[in-house]
Amino acid sequence: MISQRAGLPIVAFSVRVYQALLVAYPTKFQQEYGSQMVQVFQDCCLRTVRQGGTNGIVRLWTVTLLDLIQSVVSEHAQKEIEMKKEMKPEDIQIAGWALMLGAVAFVIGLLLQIMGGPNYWMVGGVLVIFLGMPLLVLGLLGVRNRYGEKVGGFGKNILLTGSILGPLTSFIGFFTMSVDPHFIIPYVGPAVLLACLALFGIVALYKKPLPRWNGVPIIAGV
Amino acid sequence: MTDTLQTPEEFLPLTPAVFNILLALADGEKHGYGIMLDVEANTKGRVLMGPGTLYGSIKRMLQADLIEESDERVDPETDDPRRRAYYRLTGLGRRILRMEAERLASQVQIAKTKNILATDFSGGAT
Repeated sequence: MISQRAGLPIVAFSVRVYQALLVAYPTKFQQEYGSQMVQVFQDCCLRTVRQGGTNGIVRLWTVTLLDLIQSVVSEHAQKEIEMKKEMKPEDIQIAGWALMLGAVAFVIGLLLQIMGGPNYWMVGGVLVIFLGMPLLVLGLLGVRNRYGEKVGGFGKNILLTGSILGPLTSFIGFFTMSVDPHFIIPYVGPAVLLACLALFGIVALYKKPLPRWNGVPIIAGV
Repeated sequence: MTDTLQTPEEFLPLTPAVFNILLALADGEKHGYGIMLDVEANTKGRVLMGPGTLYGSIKRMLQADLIEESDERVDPETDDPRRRAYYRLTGLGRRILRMEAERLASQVQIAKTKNILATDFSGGAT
């Protein structure tokens, strides 16, 4: 992507750094315009070096970084709006079912653990919890997409936090569960996720984003 | 600036970035860097558009059918052998640009009648 014209070390280095920073943009935008943006940035670097020497590069970077931050935020916001437009009522229904199935899987998994019994029950319990996790995440993201705008920043962000922190905790727990005090960590993942749903439920009680049954998210979470 | 905007009037007022890009393309097709240079020259360096703002605006303008990609070719004025995407105005884009320019001109006219600007205004307030 970088041509021979960028032979000057400062230009070549700047272009490589800029190219690396493009990962901050949504993937589709990056794929469509990434190479053109790098080309334009390289042209700017070459012109700056020609006109003002390497000192000009600092000013160019300042302008470019501000532009990058502003446009990254704008592109992600745009992406979210497009996603919301593309989300059909059927998708929301699927997300709702996924959330319920995920919660049922979590309860079954927990019951298998609590009841004890043969070893394969325990393994089965962990497996059921792990299989339920993607369903819970899908459900939470669906709820966020559908009702996020109506519950404000906290309600929206708490659902995103749950969707990230839940699977992450379980994933870490999976590798540490052989160590005795850590065996509980895989179960903490779905619990974190559902706690976030319960917190969203508290916000939902006040803001009433759903047409009816605004108490359902808190009940589901608890 | 997407499919929710139906009539040309609904595009107005344009953002400074969109207006300047349309203005840069008014006298012929250009590639991204060419647009950037033109905007800088037209605004006497007051509007510095980075690649992110430039291509973010280009993306939305393509979606809104204000501009279109003409072709991809090497710029003969540079020694860069890489191909560049060239953009040009669509009929709708030209119409919107004219409407926005007229809107701004009428605003300037109001400013003149209120003695904000000199009547022989030529680029700077007195």
